[in-house]
Amino acid sequence: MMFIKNVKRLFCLALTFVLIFLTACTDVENELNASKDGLSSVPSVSRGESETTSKDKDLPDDSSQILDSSIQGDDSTVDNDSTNPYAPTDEPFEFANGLMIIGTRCMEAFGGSYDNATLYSKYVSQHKADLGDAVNVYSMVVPTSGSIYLQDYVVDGENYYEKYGGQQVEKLEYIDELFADGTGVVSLNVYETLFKHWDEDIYFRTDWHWTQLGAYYAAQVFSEKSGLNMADLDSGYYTKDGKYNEDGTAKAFIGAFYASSGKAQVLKDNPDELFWYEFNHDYTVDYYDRETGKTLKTTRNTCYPHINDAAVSSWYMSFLDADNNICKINTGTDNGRVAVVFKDSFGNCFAPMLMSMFETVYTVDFRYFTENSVEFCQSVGATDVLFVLSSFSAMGNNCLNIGKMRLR
Amino acid sequence: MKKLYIINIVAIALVAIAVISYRAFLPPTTGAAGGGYENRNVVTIEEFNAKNWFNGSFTDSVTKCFTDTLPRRNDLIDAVTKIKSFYGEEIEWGIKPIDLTEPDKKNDIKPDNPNNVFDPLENMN
Repeated sequence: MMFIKNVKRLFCLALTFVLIFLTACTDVENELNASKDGLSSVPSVSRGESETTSKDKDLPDDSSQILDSSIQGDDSTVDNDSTNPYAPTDEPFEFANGLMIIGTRCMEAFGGSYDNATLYSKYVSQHKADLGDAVNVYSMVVPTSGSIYLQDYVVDGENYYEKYGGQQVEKLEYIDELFADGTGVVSLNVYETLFKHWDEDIYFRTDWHWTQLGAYYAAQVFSEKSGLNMADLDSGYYTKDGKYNEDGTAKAFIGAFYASSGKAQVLKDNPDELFWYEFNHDYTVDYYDRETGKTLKTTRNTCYPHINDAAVSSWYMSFLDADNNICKINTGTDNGRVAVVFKDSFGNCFAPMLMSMFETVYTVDFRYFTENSVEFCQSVGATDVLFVLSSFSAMGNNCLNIGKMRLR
Repeated sequence: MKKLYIINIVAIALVAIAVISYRAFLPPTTGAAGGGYENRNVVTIEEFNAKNWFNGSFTDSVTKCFTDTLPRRNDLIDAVTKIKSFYGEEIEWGIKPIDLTEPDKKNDIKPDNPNNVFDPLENMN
């Protein structure tokens, strides 16, 4: 009898420990869900391996420590005038945990709304009104890959763009219309440009972000609209680099879609290549704590701090060290122009592409910014303000953060 | 009777040692949170000072760091997800729904007048 009682006690004890573990795991899972909401939510207290800290305070103080980077890789050649007509793939389709996989490319259904698009354009227009005529304000809403690769994809007579595309392209045009209504904001619709380069690596297939090649093409649109000269990729101004092995082969980048698709094997078997572009002149990037304004570190001649190779799904964080910080790129371009880029994670690989067009480029993640955005632009002497964000942010609840930061 | 008590104590001690060893000796999760799951770094413990202590952020960061760096964190998440799937619970991560949810068609209704769209920040101006 006593033995049975003891067995029961032991069982209860073991069950208690199991429950403690499960509770801990559930906490992790909840945080994981929360982080998914913001595309790439990042806690404020953790940094990459190359981090250094200093006691410096207040933006934009000089940095205290310089980190060198080595530039590797081959020069890149791209097709600046791709003319291959778009052809939808005939590869098989599968659902994976609420995502769509066509062939080896994973995509999300688009759920942005016209209402949020309206609010987004309103908040950006309010920034323009506050900043006045002396400051140019631009809006660049970056479409998701589904807006391109779902086009004309038909299965059993059903058009998948119409079913899952959420009218993304039409909503982007709607934003253009709103900005054209006397707001003074220049709307940069990069959809057609990206669509033209559909057969190049402008989006990752295993991650929801675009690549820096896509960002380069988008920056060309900005260059045309703003009248600022931008170096071409084949001009020798850029050097392609990224996560490569010593023999020059690409390391396998398996982005965040892999986990959120429930570990779809086809994504693991067909990894992406994570690349970026270095620039052929001296420049520095200062990183400030987004909450305290303290200088954290400075990188020299690279916008891409080291991210541990083991953290494969997080390699996109290489671009300006993700969303952790406020960054200031001291480009070395001597034209007196200062850009402030209010962005989500899509802006991280775009901002370096402004290198040849501005003397100083600030990047601020509007989701976490705690200061008044208009006062910030004025304090740094901004000549141009860009809003660079994914269509999910512009047409989802994230757009409210753009309105809020003006009111702080 | 005494023998059973000893067995009981030893068993409890073994379970406790197993749990402590699991946390202390297995390699903790490092680098990106989940080592392939989340696009962020793991949480680290905040600097210990009076301000952080009294506003609770220090203890909060200890808890979060413990959770984030739990050894084999991803395997535990998978295990929990599988257990939950037995109950048919649908969560965003980990459980495979039968079909993809179509976007809400309400999002595709173009407003007749943009000025009539409800602005939750309107009264904050």
